[in-house]
Amino acid sequence: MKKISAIIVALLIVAISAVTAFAAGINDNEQKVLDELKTSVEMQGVEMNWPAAYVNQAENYFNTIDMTSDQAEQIIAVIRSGKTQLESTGAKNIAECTAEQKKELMSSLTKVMEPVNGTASFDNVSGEVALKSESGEVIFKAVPTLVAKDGGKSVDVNGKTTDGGVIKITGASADMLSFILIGAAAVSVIAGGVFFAVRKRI
Amino acid sequence: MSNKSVKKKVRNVVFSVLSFVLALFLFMNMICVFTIAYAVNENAWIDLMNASNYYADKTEEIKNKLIVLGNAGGLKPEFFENVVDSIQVTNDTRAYMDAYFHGNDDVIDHTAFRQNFKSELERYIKENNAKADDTNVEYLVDTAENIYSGSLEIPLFKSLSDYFKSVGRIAPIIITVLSLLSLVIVLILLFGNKWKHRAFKYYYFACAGTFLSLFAVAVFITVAGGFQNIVLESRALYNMAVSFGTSAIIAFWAFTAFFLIVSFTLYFVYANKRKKVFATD
Amino acid sequence: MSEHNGHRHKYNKKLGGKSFLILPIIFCFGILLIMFAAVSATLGPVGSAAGIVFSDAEKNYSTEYNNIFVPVKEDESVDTVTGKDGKPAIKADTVVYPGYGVRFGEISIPDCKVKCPLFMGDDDISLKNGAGVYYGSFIPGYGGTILIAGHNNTFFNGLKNAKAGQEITIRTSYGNYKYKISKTEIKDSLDTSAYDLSADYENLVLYTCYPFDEVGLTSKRLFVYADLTDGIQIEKN
Repeated sequence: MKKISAIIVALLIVAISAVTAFAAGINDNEQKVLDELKTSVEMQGVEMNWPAAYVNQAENYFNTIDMTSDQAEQIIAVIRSGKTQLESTGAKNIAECTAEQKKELMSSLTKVMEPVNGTASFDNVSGEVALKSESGEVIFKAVPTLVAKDGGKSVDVNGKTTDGGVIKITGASADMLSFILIGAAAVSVIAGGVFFAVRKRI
Repeated sequence: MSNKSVKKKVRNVVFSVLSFVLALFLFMNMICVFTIAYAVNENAWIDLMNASNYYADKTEEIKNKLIVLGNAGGLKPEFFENVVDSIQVTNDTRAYMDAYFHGNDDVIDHTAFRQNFKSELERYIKENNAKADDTNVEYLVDTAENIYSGSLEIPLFKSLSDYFKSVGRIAPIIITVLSLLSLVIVLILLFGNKWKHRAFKYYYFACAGTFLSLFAVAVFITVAGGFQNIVLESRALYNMAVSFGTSAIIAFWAFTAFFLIVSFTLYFVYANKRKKVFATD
Repeated sequence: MSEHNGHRHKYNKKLGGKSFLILPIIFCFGILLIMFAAVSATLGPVGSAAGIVFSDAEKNYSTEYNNIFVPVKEDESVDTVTGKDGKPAIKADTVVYPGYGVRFGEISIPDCKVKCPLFMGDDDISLKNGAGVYYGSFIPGYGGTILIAGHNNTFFNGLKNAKAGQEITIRTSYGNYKYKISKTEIKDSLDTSAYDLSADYENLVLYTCYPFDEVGLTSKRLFVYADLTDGIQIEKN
């Protein structure tokens, strides 16, 4: 149950930001977060990275907000703890995490989105996870995966190759049988970004 | 303090505690009744789907998703008018629910859809003399089939299937056990009190406690607006969730009203009996 | 009925009293406390397992989109500053950066008879109404890869006539950009070598399903590559 004032504020935000209109620009704080996103995660001895597509989505979103240094610090902390969580799963890629681990990652994600009234939803037809801000604006949308340092394709849990949902067939993911999972760090970063961005807007 | 006073206090405390336990059991019973009647019950879901226009909404959704597929697959939107119809969606959904509630694997039967789609597609290709490669056509049919079964799936079912089934089994048992225990408490209160009006006093406490608890729940879910704030990708499912929320709200207010009436009745019975006792003084 | 051990037994002839309200209230709190403890212990994990999320945000099932595109007149001057490389750059805070699902421009390829709205993001609604920039790529003027998708039987049908040397124009509210097609290639949709999302120079990649005018879902895509020939970059910090 949210406070009445929060609801009114949320409605105002919806009304005002009905047209997303924020000036472009990546400030130093946002740059720090992007740099942190580009660092690698060690999965079973192999250095894996967030696909450039993910980092770009963050950059596109950051261009519509203004982050403070406090916010950046907190987001970076969230990224780092997400990386630890991933590294401790013992899996080589997100697809190989056990159902339990995936559930845990999913619920961490949901918890992170809660404070900002942001949402995380999964479309079981397209296999994509979508993160939306309080006003319903999409912040991040992809089939989650990690790529090896030299780039290239990933393999999903059904043995099908996936490019993480870059090239579309119909606007939905190319891989209909994609698994359900979130790259906790990347996503929670974006989520964290939303969190602090929305806070800033309020 | 006299022995009798102590005994009296002890008796009061014991009966009050029993009364509290009775109130708790009654409350839990109502929750279980609600769960059985509205949540783990196949008929309840079917009624809900009918009431919230689920099948029509779902058909629209599937059609729109397929039209988007058609944009990439060389098919005009008009093609999909013949491919999805709400009767088919209704039947397949009902079959899915049936299988699910009878403990079978929640598999959606999409063979009928696939056959229909394939034959319509072949007819379309012939009529328009369109270029078509067998592998690509097969891929298109596969994708359409996946869209169809993916759309009919209810995400809640998959993830909650264990809970659903175990609750469905346990709830009736819980109701029976709680009812028996409640009856035992009622009898204890009745026969443990020399003056019968006192028993009614404790019955009143129990029912009043239940009434207030149900009242609190009813107020809570009314203010929370039921399920209006739930996030679901499918509009059909969302409308159904909102319908469910509304009927839950109504149900709980009905329970509240029932216990209010019962509490009042018990109070008056208590008052009358007590009057009679003192009148004979 | 009144004497026990010399003690006058006082009984309350009055009915009711505070206990008749207080005790039920205490019961109510007790019940709610117990139920809350039980419910949060069991339903907590259920709720997140089911992926049930609540939000006060507006429920958006509409097919409308926001449009922030206001064409820049050809001779209109734009606020510029001198960028790091000495070239003029558009002031970053004068650019309204598009959010996901927003129409922010227009793309046209006269030689292919392609002209349609340009969206940020490539979701169903965007592709139904025009061409969409993949959200993991960037906007014109940003200095990175611009990956644009369009359906092959609607807006991007003209790409079947795409050839090297043809000109592509993208108009936005913050400036107009021109590109020249360098090559076209047919690749598998999962071939990640078809584009480089971490490129640090501006390059345009259009794609659509291939072959054209055929019924069926193909795994192939036609990629059209183009280089920037004209347009002012957005200031970067």
